[in-house]
Amino acid sequence: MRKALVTAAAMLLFSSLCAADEMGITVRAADGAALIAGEEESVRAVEAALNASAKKKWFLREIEAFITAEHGDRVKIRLYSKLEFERVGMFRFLRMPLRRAVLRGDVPPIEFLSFEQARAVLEGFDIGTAAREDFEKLTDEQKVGAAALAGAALVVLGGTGPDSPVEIVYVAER
Amino acid sequence: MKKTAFVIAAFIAACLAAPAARAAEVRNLSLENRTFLREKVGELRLTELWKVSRGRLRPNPIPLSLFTAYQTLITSGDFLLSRHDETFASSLARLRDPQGNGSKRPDDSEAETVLRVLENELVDAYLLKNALAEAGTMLEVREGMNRAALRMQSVPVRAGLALSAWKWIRAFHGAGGVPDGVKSRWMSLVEYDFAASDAAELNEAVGRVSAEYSRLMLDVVTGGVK
Repeated sequence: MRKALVTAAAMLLFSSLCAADEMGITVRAADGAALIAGEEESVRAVEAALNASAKKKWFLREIEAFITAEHGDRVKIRLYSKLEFERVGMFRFLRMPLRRAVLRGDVPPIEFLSFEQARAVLEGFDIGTAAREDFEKLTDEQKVGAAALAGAALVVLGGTGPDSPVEIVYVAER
Repeated sequence: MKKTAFVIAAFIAACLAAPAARAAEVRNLSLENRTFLREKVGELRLTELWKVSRGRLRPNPIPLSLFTAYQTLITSGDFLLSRHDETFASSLARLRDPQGNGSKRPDDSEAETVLRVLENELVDAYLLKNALAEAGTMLEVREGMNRAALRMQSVPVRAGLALSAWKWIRAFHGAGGVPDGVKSRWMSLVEYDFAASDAAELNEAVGRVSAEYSRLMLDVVTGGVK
């Protein structure tokens, strides 16, 4: 593990989670990884600041404090300790047809809306949205990160018809 | 003393009246259905025969649809009634847990009211007297029973959609802060007319109302409804 560093500014495929001018990066630390997302300009500034720092070894809480002090609320941060990052099982997945999910109350009624409208409804409840075809291209780690950044939950939509498959990913709180 | 005696007498009268009042409310709906159907079939038997034979005793061919409806009702009335009862029982059971997730009945008055409205509608759909009041032929009786069964099947789905939408509306506005406009629009969707004569039409009707709920949610989060 390299010391304090942004070893991989791996651009997560947040195209489905974020608006066109938003981006996300993974920052590795001694005890895990931090996922940072927000407007492209802000995220790049955070990345540059971390790279420019003379500090050799970062811990998650230090990264959080550093970013919060420098950039405030302009970026969203989620922290994952190594233990958590490896235990994908702590994320709860529900898969079912959309009609069933709506009837159960797991997602608000969004049937027959366009994808953008469905995203607007879900965001109103602090729920992230991803298109199924985009989400399936992600690696497992990226899926975990995407879910963690999504808010209360991430809803992966295969469409908005009653029989469309929907996957709801809940992230356990740290 | 007189006053005390009057109070006691009133109390006893109330106690005696209460079971009588309860007993008066108890109705055997299945028996009512059976009696009504038998009467209706008896009433229509002659008119149907008259219609198909034009009043003459001759072996006129009976149109297949009428023949089928006639035969079914004459020979299988009990079978149709038992299916009607099963549909009612199944819908009632599903109405106890309309969201299918084992959740308890909602503890807020709006959701409770909606469940009561839908329970009443279920009973209303079960009563053949309502469904068959206008039926003038055996075929219409059979179709009326089918429509009533579909209406009963729609009730738990409507309850599930209504409760789900209400849960999210409350989450957005807070328990006591739901605007009247939202509440009235939600209530109008609960009372949406689900008249359908076959499963495909029922599916379309559920889809229509589900789309309306979706538009309501969109308006709620975008502030399009006050």
